[in-house]
Amino acid sequence: MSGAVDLIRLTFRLRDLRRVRRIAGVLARHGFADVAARMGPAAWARSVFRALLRRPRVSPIPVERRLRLVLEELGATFIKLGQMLATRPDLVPMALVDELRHLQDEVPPFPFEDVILIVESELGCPMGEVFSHVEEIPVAAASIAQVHFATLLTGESVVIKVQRPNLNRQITGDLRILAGLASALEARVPEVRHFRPRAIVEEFTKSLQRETDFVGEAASMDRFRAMFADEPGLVVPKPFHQWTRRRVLTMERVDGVKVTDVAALKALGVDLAAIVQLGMRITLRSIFEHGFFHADPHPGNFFVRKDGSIVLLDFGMMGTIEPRRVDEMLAFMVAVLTGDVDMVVDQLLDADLIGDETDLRGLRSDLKSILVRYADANLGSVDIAAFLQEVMSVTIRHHVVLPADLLLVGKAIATMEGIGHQVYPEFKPLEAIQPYLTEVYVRRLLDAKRHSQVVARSVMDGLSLLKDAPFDIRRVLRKLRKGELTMNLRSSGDEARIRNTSSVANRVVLAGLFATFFFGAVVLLDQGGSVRTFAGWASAGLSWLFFLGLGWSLLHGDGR
Amino acid sequence: MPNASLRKGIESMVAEVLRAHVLDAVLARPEVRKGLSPEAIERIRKDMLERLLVSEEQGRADRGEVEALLDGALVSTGPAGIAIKALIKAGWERLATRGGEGG
Repeated sequence: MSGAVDLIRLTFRLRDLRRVRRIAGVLARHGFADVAARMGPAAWARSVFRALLRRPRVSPIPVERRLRLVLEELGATFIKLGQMLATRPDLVPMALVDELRHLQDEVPPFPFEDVILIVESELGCPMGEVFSHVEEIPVAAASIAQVHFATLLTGESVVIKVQRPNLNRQITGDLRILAGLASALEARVPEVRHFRPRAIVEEFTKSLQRETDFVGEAASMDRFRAMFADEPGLVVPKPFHQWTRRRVLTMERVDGVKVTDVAALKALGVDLAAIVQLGMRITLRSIFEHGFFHADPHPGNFFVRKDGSIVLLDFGMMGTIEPRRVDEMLAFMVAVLTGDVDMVVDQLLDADLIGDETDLRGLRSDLKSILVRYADANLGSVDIAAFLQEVMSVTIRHHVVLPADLLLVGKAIATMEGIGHQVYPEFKPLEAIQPYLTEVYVRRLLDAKRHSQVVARSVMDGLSLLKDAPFDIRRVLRKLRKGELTMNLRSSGDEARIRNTSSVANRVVLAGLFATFFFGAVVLLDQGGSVRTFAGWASAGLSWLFFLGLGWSLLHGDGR
Repeated sequence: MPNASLRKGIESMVAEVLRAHVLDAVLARPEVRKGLSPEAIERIRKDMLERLLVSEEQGRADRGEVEALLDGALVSTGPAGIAIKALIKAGWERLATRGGEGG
């Protein structure tokens, strides 16, 4: 088993060595000489460690900013990782969260020749058979893809989003390194185990795989447009599925002004207050009515048209929430916004987010101090992002690990609030959010269709259980009568403790055997006679073997 | 999965319980009274009452299907099923009577 692990490590090391060295070099350049030191003797990490120690440097730039620069320099995977961590104040310090929010996802464009190669290989035909014209200079270039204006042979103006060359290979390698790093962290740094680094990397891997699959993005665009068919103020570009593949997305071209370009918006003559309200309404509806929302709602993805409608772009990173979770979130948000501390704590308990280590009285008291302070404030003067941030900080301080989707929802609302303040400074988000959320909460509680689905499922389950119960009971009774009933019990304690107990028991047995044979040998040799002498030496040999076994167990056993 | 008629029947029964026993209780909750103005609460009450009545009436004819299913399934399981059926019936009649008085 150990040999297989070593082999995997060796393969991993050889395959990723160059990239690991590059990562180490970038880390070293930004003064992170101490990072790999805690990774211990993991084979692949040693090369990182060596590279770091070669050029130790102390930088006057704050550590958070240096870390952001490292992520930017390492490219797509690490920029996306930073963006994900920026939504997880429960995992990383707040100062780092603030810094990671400034991650720049702008990189130099790749050559047009590569664009042609990728588009033609994905579409399986020359570009000229699909497009009458493609602009060589990209409109935008980011770490995952770049975007070009084009015209279809049918005359429609479109936008082509083309994935960066070799992105998949690079991301796969980086994810492998991150997975190795997460495993090493979890195994060797006990204080980070609580944050489940391996689970985070797994979650991040899934999210990145979704974001780099443009067929999935086109499907998300369709779903979002269908969800808001009753909202004429929202425009979602129409994807052209026949010209969309995993690395190429062709969609309708919709022009507009960037939402934060207030001067241009004023020149258009649109109602700024109406735009902000519409943006917030779309954000809230997508989360709490549809459970499917834009998880990357930065200002670069919002545009405004002359008629005051909002154009939403980039559906690569979407958040999905189960209906039950929507109910939990709604109740949590309503409790927070109405200052009901008991309800907040009940919601956290119901959602199974509070562990044994949480001091419930302390949590209640800390939450109360925040909620009372905000309850006394004027609705219009409350900064939602800061408010939610304070609530989250308190829950985190009390060891409540908030679910990722709740944090994404918090981020989406806070981002929309930020855009709102930029575009229309008089915007009072809480005045719009509180009544909306309370109304949705009430309507969901009184939704007969939804409740009847749960009832119907329970009835069917109950009937099925009732139908099978007599047979099951009879079978158990028969086994009981025959004395054949067996039960498999598993201890809820940790495996390590069980292994340790077993190891101690083994040592006691070895020590007992050693003592028995040793003293047996002494007695036999003392009595003399050829047979007894032979048996004495045999006993001494056996005692020596048991002694060696005991020594080996003490040096290499689990309980050392 | 239950068929459409069964779903409508269950929805009708659930709507009746919600209208008669849950609607006013939900609207009287402290978090609702804090989060909504009295006018908004009244508007929502009227709207929800209307919706629940529609659901209730639309599935009234299908309630027989639910009762028949429960009857058949419970009776077939023997004395325990018959006892559970009697309990459900008594509970439902009690709810429906109070609902009629309240609604």
